[in-house]
Amino acid sequence: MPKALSIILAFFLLTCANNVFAHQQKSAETTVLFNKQSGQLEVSHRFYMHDTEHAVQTLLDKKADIINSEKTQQQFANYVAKQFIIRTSTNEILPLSDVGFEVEGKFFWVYQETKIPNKLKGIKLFNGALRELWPTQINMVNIEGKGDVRTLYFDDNKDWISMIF
Amino acid sequence: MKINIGKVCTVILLPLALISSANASAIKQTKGDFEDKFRQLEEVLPTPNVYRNAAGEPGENYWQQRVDYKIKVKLDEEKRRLTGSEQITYQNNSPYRLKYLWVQLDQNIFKEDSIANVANNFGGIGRRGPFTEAGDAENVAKISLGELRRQQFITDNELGYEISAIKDYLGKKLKFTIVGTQMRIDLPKPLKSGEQTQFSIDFAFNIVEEDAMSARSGYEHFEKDERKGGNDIFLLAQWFPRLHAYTDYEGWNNKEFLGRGEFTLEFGDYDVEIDVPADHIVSSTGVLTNSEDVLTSTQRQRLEKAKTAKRPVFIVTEQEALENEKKGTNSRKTWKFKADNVRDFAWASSRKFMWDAKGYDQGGDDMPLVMAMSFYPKEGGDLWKKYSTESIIHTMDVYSRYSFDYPYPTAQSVNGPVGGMEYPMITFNGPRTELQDDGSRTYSQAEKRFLIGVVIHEIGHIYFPMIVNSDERQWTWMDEGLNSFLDGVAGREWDPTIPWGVEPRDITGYMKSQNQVPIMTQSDSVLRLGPNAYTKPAAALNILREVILGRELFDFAFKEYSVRWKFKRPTPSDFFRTMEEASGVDLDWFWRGWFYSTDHVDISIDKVFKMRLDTHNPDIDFGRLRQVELDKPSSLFVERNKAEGKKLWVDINSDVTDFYDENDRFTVTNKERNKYNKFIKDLKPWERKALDRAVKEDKNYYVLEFSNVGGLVMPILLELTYKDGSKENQYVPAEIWRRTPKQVRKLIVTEKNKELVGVTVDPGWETADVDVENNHYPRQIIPTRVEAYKAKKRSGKVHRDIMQHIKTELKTDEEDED
Repeated sequence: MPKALSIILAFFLLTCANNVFAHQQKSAETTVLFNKQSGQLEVSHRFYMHDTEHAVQTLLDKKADIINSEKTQQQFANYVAKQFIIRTSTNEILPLSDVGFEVEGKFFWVYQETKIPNKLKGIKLFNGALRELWPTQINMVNIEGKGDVRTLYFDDNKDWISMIF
Repeated sequence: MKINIGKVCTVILLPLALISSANASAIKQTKGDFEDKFRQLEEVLPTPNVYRNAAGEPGENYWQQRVDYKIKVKLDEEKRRLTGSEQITYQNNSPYRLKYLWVQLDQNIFKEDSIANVANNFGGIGRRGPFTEAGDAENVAKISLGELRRQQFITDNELGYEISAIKDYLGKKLKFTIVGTQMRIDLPKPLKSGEQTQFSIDFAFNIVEEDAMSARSGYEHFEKDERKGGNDIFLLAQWFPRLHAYTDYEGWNNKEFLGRGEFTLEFGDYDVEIDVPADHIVSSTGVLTNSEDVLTSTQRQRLEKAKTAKRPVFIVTEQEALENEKKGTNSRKTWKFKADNVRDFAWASSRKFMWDAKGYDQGGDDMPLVMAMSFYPKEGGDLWKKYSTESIIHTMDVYSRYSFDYPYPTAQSVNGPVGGMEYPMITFNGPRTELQDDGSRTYSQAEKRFLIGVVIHEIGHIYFPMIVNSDERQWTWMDEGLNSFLDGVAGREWDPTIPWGVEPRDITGYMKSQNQVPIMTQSDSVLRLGPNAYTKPAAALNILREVILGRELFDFAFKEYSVRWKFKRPTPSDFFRTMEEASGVDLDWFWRGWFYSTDHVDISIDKVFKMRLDTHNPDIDFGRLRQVELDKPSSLFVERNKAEGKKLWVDINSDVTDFYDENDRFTVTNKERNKYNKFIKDLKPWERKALDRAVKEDKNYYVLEFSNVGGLVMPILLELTYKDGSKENQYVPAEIWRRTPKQVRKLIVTEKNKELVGVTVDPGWETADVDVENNHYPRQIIPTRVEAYKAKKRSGKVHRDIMQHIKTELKTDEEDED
């Protein structure tokens, strides 16, 4: 039914427009840092507190309160960890360990890390956080510590994005 | 014959590419790679003229069109359908004659053949549904229920405008042509400059369900309400065919409505009659002119009382609203509103609304008393009762200080399905309470912040762009950027413990990322509207105010811009020019860097040299040179010989000495002294005085070397740390980069006893410098975010085994001595 589908797209555009009026930003930033000093691959996810507040009420339960409940914060951090996957260019999963999470002003941060494997030629990333909730969610990933900053956007229907060093 | 398509394309494309780069700039730097980051902006800005002058002011012959509307509209609650008839008076204030008028038909974006729609078809189905398993990304996406809801809504409803008649003032049909979301009306004879014409449009459309469509307006259905069939809240915006803007800078603003770029409209007076079910409460742009027909005498008394009340007074109480929403009626009422000098008109209607109001005694001549009012269902609850109307008043209080007195008689906040949207005198705001199992309604701290924040933001929009009428279709940043900056100012004056506003550090991640577009990009083309049109311009203005101009100059210039363009139509160049000429500071480099480029801020301190002034006096300089030599580490070779106990020839034969054993190469003779005396004698008196003083003061001279890694030129904020532990801040204006934008040196002179040991660039993170690692000399090991977090965790005292340690007995002094 091509007609119906095409009309949906028009509404989708409106959705784009609509969700930036308010303070809910529906956008997150992630930094993947190759830390040469420590040999660690460090991942920091930055969410708008306000986005997470709405997200946990859908992801967990309606009463979930990410500002006051450390348990909710932990649950959200776990959710983020599940939604962020790094594979090597040869398709092996790089297991990320959870470092922690914190609230800083209007942001909620989630940290992960792993050891940088030897002879890493490239990575494939998947970042699905909140995108299943909101079609307009955009996750930006900056990859740092490998020359110039490189940026990947996870939005619309993008699944895995590869990057060769 | 086999054609190599690839080659053909190359041949065709190449000349085009050359042409476009040739057009990019008439001025070319063909030697070296110098880039003039301070180049005057005039050559980029439109040429000043009699309509907009070079100072950023409305010019001597500034004009704008005027459009007055008389509208009668009927809401069919059952069918969720709006039927209306509007009589439009178009006043042509332009110096040109118009053969036709263009009208905006925003509802047509929902139609199948809209450009937004058809253009999107190209990319296929660009939507994704939820994954079946969290994290298993390689599973095929499935259609979400929300998407099914949209599909079903569209199949069940005919959308877009139904235009039934367009007639001139004599009732004669006018020819019209619909082009997507626009409509051209051909006038029977050209409308001359200074003349006006009248015509009418009959229209109708089916209202979209906001929750299904995520539009800017629509209805929301409450099926659990006690009334059979439930209730609706109707938010009506973009609901009547509105005249396109016709401007001095663009003529007809024929930019198709694609969904993101909002609107630009003409100012005018509105008389609107809204026919709704008799039990509805209507909130609307303007002032209610027939309150005796639609309100009870009690309600009218309450409104009167609200004018001087300390806290909001209920015009419709919660109890009354609850009773109201249980029933229903077949009778109808017509609410009449009048709004003067507004650029748009929106309204809301529901039998669910309670209504509170409080007068805001603003003072001044323009509008001494403004009625701040909120309309919300029980779902808004205490959150709305406490904070909505008060937030409206706080916004007017703060914004007026930075711009002008609020010029309208009402300012309203309405709760409905829209997250946040603004229209003249009325805003739609989404936050709500949650119903708990025990029947109570609660809200989280975040929802409270959201409500206060969104009301401030949307009421703030009544100033920008509803009064300072910038072109939202083209330049989202002109209202969102300015308003995000000001809502941060207002938020911090509400309660600074709530994290409001935009700090420069918030934008660094975006600014160093790839795939950006400059802020000066048309709204529909911007890649990431949030950081591009809201956060980055707000951060830039924050930096301009706090770092570059200072509050006094910035606030003066910003207010000047607001006042100049109040009820007028500014363009970006008017903003840039006004800010510059009212502050008296050349900001061309700032607009170029922050608004016209995708550079980011990253200033690195690379080196610091210490220097000492040569006195030319051999009795001083030779001694210093000797000391320099002595301070060098001695040769490892010699040290090892010493360690091995090697005997030296000179020690063994100490009886053999000569002149040079007593006098080293730094020994001063009269030859040097004579040369020095002659040098001093040859100096002009002022030269000798300057030298004498410098020798006497013996100051420290340091040369600091900086490089601009990010490309954006900015002032260098320096923190100098001295050996004695003291610190000093210095501000180096951005102009230091003028002739060498990549590298600069700065000479710092300090008193003799002020020896420099460290330099930090931008210690307070005030400039959005994206890499603070290169901000220190000597370099410091800056922990990464993850490292810093781990260190913090350790110091968080959570690792102490307090359960064990608490058993420790307190030792006495005597025991300590044991």
